[in-house]
Amino acid sequence: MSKKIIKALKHSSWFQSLPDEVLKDLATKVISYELDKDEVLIRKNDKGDSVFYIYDGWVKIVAGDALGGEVVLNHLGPGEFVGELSLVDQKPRSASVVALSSIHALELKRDDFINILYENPEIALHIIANISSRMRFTSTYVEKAIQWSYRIASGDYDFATDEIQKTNIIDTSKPDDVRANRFLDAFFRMLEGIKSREDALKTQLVQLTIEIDQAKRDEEIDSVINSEIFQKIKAESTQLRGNRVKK
Amino acid sequence: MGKIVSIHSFRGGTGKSNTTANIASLVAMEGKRVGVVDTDIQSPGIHVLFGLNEESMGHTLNEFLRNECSIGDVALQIGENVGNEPGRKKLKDKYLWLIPSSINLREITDILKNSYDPNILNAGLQTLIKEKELDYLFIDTHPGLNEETLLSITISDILIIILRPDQQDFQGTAVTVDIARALDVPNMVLAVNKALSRYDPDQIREEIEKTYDVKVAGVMPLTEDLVENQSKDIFSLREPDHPWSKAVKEIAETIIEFD
Ligand SMILES: Nc1ncnc2c1ncn2[C@@H]1O[C@H](COP(=O)(O)OP(=O)(O)OP(=O)(O)O)[C@@H](O)[C@H]1O
Ligand SMILES: [Mg+2]
Repeated sequence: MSKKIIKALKHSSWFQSLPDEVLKDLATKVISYELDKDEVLIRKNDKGDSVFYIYDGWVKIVAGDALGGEVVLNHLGPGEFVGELSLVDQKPRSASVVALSSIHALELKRDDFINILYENPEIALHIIANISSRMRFTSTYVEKAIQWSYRIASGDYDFATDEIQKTNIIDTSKPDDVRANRFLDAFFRMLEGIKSREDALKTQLVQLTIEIDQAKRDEEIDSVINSEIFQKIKAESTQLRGNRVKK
Repeated sequence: MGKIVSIHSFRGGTGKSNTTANIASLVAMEGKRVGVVDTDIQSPGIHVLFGLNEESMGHTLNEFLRNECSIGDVALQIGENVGNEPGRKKLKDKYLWLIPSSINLREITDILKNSYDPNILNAGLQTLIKEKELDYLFIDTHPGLNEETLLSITISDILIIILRPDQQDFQGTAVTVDIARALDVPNMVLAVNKALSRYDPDQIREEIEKTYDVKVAGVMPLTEDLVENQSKDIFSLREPDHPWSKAVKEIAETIIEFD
C-alpha cells in the first residue's frame, strides 16, 4: 500500500523532487481515501486544515446557488491538489468537493506539511508556482469577464461568436486550458440565456404600425357623402337632433 | 338631458355588443339611469348578455317600428330581472332598460323587406329618454355605414367606434371617423378590442390617437376568458379585476366624464 502511495507522491509536482526517505516518511503521514462516485471529499464551511492530492479519478468543486441548486465551479483530475489555500490561510472550506467517479485521494494535514516544508523549503516554490498559475488564470478571466459584461450591458452580443471561436483552439491537455474552457462555456451559456430571453421579449411586444390607403379612404368617404341617404340625413340632422328632449 | 351614446364599428365581430352591454352595466352600477337599444335588427345579439331568449323577450323593437306597441312597452327593466348569473345579479335594483330586437327570423325578414321610417326610431328613442328619465341611452348597431348607422351617428352625443388592431379595421375606421366628423358628432372616442398580448397597449393607444386624432378610451385585450363566458353574463361585473374588465371600466369612466 505505501509503495503505491510513494509512487503517487512521486508523480505530483509538489513532491517529485523529494528524496526517497522523505517520501517514505511522508507516505506514513498521509491519510488515504477511496471514495465512490458522488461521495463528498470536502464539505463547504468545514474547518480547513489539510490539502488533498487526487491521484486517481475526477472530482468536481461545487458551490450552492441562491435557489439551493448546485453550481459546478471546476473539475480536477489525477495529479492535482485541492484545498491548498487552507494550508496558508486556515479559513473554512470555500466550496465542497464531490467525487465524479470512484477516486483515490491522499490527505496531508497542515502540521505534517509544515514540518516537511521546514526540512525541504524548495517545496514552497512548487506551491507558489501552483497558486500563482491559478491566480494568473483567475485574474485573466476576471478581466475578460469585466470587459464582456460591459459589452453585454450595452447590448453587444456579437463579440461572443469571436470569443467562442478562440475557445475552440484551447489545448485540452492543459488543466488551465480546460478550466478556461469551462469558464467560457458557462459564460457563453449565460449569454445565450440572456439573448434568448431578450428575443422572446422582443417578439412579445411587437410594434403596431398603421397603414391607411389614403386614396381608397377618400374614395369611400366620397361615395358615402355623395349618397342620397347621407345627403338626406345631413339635411335633416338639425331637425333630427332638435327632436332631443329636455330632461 | 339624457345623452345618446352610439357604439359602432366598420366591420362586424369587433365586440360591439359585448362592449356596449358592459359599459351600459357599469354606468348603471354608478346609479345612472341607462337604456340599451339593439338597433342591429338584422342580427340582434345584445339580449343574450342580459339573459334573454326568444320566449322571455316580450315586446320587441320590431313591434314598435310596425306601430304595434309603444316604446315603453318594449323596454325591459333588467334591474328587476337579473337572473342568477353572478355578474348580472349585481344589477339588482339598478336602472337599466333593454330594448331588444326580435330574433324571430320572420320578423327580421319582414322588417328588412318593408324597411321602417328612421324618424319613427328616432322619435321612439326620444320618448324613451323622456319616459324613463334616462341619463344615457346606448345604441348597439349593425356594423358598417348604412342608413340606420348614419342616423344613429347623427343623433349621438357621444360616438364610440370599436376597432380591432388590424389593417382592415384601421382603414374602415378612418372612413367612419371622417363621416362622423362630417355629421358634426359632438364627442367621439375610439375603443380597441381584441388587442393581442404581443402588442404594448400604450403603444397601440399612442399610434391610433396619432393616426386619427381621436382619443382612445380603452384598449381591451383579446382573451379566451370572454369567449368562455359565452356572452351569458356581464363579464366586467362577474370578473371586475380582469384586464378586459378594467379596460371597459376605463371606457365607461370616459363616457361619464363627458358633460
Ligand atoms: N376581447 C375579446 N377577446 C376575445 N373574444 C372576444 C373579445 N371581444 C369579443 N369577443 C368575442 O367576439 C365575438 C363577437 O363579439 P360581439 O358579438 O360582442 O361583437 P359585435 O361587434 O357585436 O358583433 P356583430 O358585428 O356580429 O354584431 C363574440 O364571440 C365574443 O365573445
Ligand atoms: Mg353585435
